[in-house]
Amino acid sequence: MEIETDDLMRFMDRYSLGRDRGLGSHQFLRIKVPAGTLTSEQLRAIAQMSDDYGRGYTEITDRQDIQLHWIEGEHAPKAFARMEKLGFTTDKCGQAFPGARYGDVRNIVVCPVAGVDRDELIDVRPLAKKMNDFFIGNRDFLDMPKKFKISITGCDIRCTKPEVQDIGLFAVEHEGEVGFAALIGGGVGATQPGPRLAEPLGAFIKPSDVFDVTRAMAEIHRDHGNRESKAKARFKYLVANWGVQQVREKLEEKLGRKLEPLEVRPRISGEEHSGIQEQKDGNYFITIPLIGGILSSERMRRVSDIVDEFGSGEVRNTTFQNMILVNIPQDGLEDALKQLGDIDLPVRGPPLRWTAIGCAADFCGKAAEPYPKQMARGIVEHLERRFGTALDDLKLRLYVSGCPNDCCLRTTGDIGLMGIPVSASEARELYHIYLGGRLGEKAQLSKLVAKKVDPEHVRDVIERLVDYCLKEGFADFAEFCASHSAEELGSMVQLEVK
Amino acid sequence: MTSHGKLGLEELEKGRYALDALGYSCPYPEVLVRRALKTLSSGDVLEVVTDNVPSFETILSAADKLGCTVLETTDVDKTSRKIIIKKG
Repeated sequence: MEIETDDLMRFMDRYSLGRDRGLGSHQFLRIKVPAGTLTSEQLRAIAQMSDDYGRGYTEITDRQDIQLHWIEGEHAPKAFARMEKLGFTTDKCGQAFPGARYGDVRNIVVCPVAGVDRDELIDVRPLAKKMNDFFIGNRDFLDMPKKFKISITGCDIRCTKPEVQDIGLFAVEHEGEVGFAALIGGGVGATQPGPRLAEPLGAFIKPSDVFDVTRAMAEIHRDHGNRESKAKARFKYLVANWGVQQVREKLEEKLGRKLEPLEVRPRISGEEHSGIQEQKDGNYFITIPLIGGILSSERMRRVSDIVDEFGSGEVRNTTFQNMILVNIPQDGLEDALKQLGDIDLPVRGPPLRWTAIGCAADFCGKAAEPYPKQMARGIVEHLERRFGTALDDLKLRLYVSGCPNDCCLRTTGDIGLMGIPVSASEARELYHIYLGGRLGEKAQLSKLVAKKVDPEHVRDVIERLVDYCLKEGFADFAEFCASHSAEELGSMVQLEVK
Repeated sequence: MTSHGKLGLEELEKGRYALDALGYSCPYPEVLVRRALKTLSSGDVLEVVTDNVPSFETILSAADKLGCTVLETTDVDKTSRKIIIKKG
């Protein structure tokens, strides 16, 4: 006796569902969006898929994917077929297996304003496309010890957060030549050796070498990464144990040539392309702040209409869970903004609106209410009410994760929150408060200043910290944190530092 | 899975079949079970083995929705589980 598997065989290397355990969802569909870029037609089609399979709810992720929930297994083959027609794939859900295996290359994070950014050194989209074309569905890279994360950017604010990637490439100018430097071995999750910022590879990588270097690095992870246990299986564990020098020697052995030494870290890193900005061609891009990345299918359709009417029919997802409309002529800006406002997607407010992110812990089942996305939005709106326009000049990044896996990078935020369940029997979440994480030339992981704070008090605590920051005259919350010890910050919020 | 796009069910005895779903990620074990159950006759028994943890739950749920009865679930080893389903 036999069963038909023609369609499944076609999908297996490129499509899977992930596991949910919250809000009645058992499986999610994470649509990989290469370079975070979609046409309006693709966006409408995803909105329709969301209506058909996912209750009209979508999330933009900080790896520029779009996530749908409540996906039933019986609908998956049809959903995969629709995605295939659209040119999309998914992450492979290797984490559901017990051993250290079935890791794949996750969506390659690419600067969302590549090609239009006035200040970029190089348009990285062709390089990203070559990598995507190679890695997606490539069986040689579907059984790595664990997932592998790549980012690449040509922008000068390194919005792609290279410090938290397995390999994060960023453009540099070296002796008159534009190429790339790389940080390797980053990762802020709980797996061994714990949260860790990536270190400089110490090499100048020519654009023509980017593909070979990235491929070789993924091979090193695949062939030498630890397969004893999942806790030791991320690339950061290998880099921590080998050291960067040994990784680089292995890389050069694979390449068959030495790379030119260049020791450099990004000066500025992990910032968002916020607000409305002029492009290199004189048009504008509009970054819609979504706070947590939530977008209904209906709004998704309206955004498609707006970008068709005023732009070039193209949107891009950002690493801060926001969405960018590109190529808007100046004379269309006002109407485009009005129409976005009409669908309750206002493009105004303090920088925090663009830099507050929260993970999908409401669905993964590792956290209880109030969930990270709710917390992020609640805090932003509370601070806006409390401080009004005084918040407009304050750089502040708020990252909220529901558990130590830290999907939303609380260890690198100016303010980071991590959920802790009250108890196994009580479905309510408390939050640890972390301060002072930053990327760039002063990169460091955040410090824990308060444990198990009731969500009701978290807003008050953050309000008090922001109040101190503004009264002390800081325009950058990171600088405020850097000017105080963890004990001082703890005493400011009148909480015991544990 | 065979190269010609069909997956064979091993006949263990008359009316009792085995489905090897080891190594398949979500949702494939569940989809394979659904297709297998549709192929079987009422009263037939399907033994499926999977090592995909979420599928432990989704297979049970699918069997229930299809009006079938889960007769037994047993851990084969540290990583995989056998689920025995009787078609309704």
